[in-house]
Amino acid sequence: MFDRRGRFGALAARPHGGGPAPVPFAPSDLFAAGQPGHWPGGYDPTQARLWQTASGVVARVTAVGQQVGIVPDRSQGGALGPELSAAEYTISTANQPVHTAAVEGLYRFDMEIVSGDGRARQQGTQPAIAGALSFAPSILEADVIARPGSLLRINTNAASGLVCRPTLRLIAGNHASQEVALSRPTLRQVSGKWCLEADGIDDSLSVTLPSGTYGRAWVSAAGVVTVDTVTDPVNALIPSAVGALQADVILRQGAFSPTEEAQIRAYWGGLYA
Amino acid sequence: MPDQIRITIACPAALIQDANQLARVIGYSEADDQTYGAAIWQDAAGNRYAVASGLVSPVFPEAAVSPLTAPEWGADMAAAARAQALIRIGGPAAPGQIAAVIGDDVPAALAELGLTRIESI
Repeated sequence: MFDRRGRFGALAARPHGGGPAPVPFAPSDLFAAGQPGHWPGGYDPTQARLWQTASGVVARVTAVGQQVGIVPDRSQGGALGPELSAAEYTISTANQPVHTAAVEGLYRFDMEIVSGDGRARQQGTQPAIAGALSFAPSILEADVIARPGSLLRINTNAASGLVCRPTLRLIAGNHASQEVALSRPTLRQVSGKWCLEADGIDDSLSVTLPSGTYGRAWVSAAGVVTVDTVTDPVNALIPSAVGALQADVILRQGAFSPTEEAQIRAYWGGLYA
Repeated sequence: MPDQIRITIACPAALIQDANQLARVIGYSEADDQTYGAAIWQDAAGNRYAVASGLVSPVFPEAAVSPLTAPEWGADMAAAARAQALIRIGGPAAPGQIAAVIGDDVPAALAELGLTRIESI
């Protein structure tokens, strides 16, 4: 539904009259010059691969009431890096190495279990995280955070003959996450709008950005937009009140210009008002 | 039984290190030893606490008082045991106890614990 720059497909530029219509604004335009930042593009779990890791097991966020441990950043378009996995493994060990992470980041680690007896799953060692063990044939999704030195591997209870086809690629962007179980926000839906609820106690979403002054904008589920600046932001969950509802947020290095602020307000006004 | 329940826990300032080791033991990863942060809450007598609140498995309260097993990522088990011995379900918060309130309503849990945020911090 979204195009590469984060616009709804139906709103993308198209011929109009004697010439092309103006290209509608999308928040990804704020990062067009490569500015660092964070923009999740909302929290609709059917549009974004949000992840809960409540029990140390990778699982997609799919429903209201679930904790959100990883929020991908779309400010850089979610581009995937080079393939880091071999095309296929025929397993002969309990832990089949795929790649040792050289850089910290969020890795797309999807896998098809093609054939063979036994179960398998994707696994990372730093932090310790794993998917759910599954039999062939199956297709498993996982986006996992890995720190340098983390061994990304296939874990299995099959001694031999299990054929797996993983794909492992670094996802560009400054993704937000929360490793502390009790500090994860909760997915909510209010009047059809997907949002994150903060408990007002300790919930936060850590994001690592270069130091500097950032323009910061966030919109509540009720459509209220707040714009300001912040120095060296480390949290992508902005509201701190009990039960606060965040529908989207933008952090962009450099304060927003008046024109940019007006564009942000108009964009979110069309989605959340 | 619900998939998850909310628990709100008040940890006295002097017990934060031990309580974080307990969280490391009964939590889901080594990162859970950051569960209790700054002691920015206080009771009516001015005693300070760190507060954590979040969704946990319905078996969490039982697991929290069960015999502890060292996690694969390691932990200070003596510190965790000291903290475990001080757990109490229900408010109000008290300096020598780690009080936990179960319930979805966070403001109500804070009221039962008798805690307010220290605004000046």
